[in-house]
Amino acid sequence: MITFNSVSKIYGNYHALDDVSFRIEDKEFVSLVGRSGAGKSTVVKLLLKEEKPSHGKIFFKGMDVAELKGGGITNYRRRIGTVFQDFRLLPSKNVYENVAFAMEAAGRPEEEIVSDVPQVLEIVGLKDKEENFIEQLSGGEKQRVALARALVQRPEVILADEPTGNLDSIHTWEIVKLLLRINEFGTAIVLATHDKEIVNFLKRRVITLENGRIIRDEQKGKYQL
Amino acid sequence: MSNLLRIIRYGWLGFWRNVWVSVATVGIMVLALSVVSGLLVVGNIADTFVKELQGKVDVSVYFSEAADESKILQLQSSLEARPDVRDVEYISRDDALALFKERHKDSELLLASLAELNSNPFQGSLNIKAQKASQFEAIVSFIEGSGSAAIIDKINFKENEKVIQKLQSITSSIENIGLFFTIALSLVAVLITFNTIRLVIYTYRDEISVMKLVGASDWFIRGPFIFTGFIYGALSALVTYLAFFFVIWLISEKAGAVFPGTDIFAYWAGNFVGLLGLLLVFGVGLGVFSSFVAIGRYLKV
Repeated sequence: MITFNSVSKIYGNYHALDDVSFRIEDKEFVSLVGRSGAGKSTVVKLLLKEEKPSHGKIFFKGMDVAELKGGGITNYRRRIGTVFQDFRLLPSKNVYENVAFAMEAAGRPEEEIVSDVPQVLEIVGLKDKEENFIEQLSGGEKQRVALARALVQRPEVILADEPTGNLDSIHTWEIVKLLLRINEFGTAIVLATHDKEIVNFLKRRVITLENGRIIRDEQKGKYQL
Repeated sequence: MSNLLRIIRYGWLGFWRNVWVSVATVGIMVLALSVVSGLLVVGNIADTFVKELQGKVDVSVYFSEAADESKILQLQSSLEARPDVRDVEYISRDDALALFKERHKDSELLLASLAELNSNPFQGSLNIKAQKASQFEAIVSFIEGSGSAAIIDKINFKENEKVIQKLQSITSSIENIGLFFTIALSLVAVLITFNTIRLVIYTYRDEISVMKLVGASDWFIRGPFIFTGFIYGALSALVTYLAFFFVIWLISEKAGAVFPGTDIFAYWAGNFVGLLGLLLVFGVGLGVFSSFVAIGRYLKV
């Protein structure tokens, strides 16, 4: 589904990614691990087309991501769910609207939104908080809203960039379990993290980055730096 | 259609949920529109004042005693047909005599001297008022070349020419100063409004980039901000019109005393559709345009 083909990203003299190649298949659960600055977030940014690669090509379902323009980028982003360490929610909207926004933006009919949003909020355990505004939620709840927003678009892949970085251990495990459940529904997950416990618990594919290069790619990997 | 409704709903929510930001923005736009409204009122006063001044200046054409009245009336109608002539008043010899008698009815000596003459010593005349003082010269040369020259005894244009020129330079100065202030202050109003809305949108910059990342199109993001800008503009125009209505109602009488002939309340209330329309076009135009431009730079994610 996702292919990185000799991708490099250079900021000035700094090589954030250096000749990185890998493939991620449908329905896979892949952890991207590495120290801060290893290049995990750069991979996520490139996949979201927030940044352009300096060299190399990125393909999503055979489509060259670099070639996308305007409405093409918008449609592409609708196929990818995103969850960030800093949540990136819309503070001026309530929980329901944050989740519904992605569907509204995609032009989905009202009946579908009215039926899907409560279902997804039920899955992430926030059905009773749909009227709350973001500032009224705990960190764990905010991240669950972000997951619900990603999920409601029925994406083919969810990119989670340090989704537990700002959470305590109880909320961390809630999120990990939700990601596993979403993956069971058939959505691929790319989890960028430096949380050793999570990676070792998952026992899934692990790609380890160091100084912008892949140093390990194991199918049932462990957190090793 | 449903997307349009969503855009309108989010625009309204954006206005309502940040009601204090909205109040502050509308407040600043009201100040900016007040500058425009103030210019309109001052413009109206200046216009009336200039017209009043110009109305005081006229040129009189005096006709010889033997002049045939039908020829005078013919000249009057050809003058009235000219667009630069505001008013032509014919005072016949008899009218002039009657006017003199009325004016000096308390002066027996004058009336007695008049009776001694046994005939009417007054000349018939046409009093001409132009739209603008600068047009007198053309009107006078029209009269001189009109074929009525034979019946004309005197045109007092030469005597009035200096006064007319002075008046012309005063009115054109007032018009130029007015134009300068209109342009300069309107520009200030535009810049203030633009920067206020830009600041409001700046506070949403993170939210805008998130919207982009979850796959919202530029128009779906921009639309609600533009609609909020529309509400800011419409509300500001309405508040400004009503505030001026109230203030003018309070001061109209005093203003009329300072500038005779002006009635700014009649102007403000009587031109309800035009003035409110102008404020709405200015306010809504600015609100929508500022939102449209200000959001552009945050959409490049």
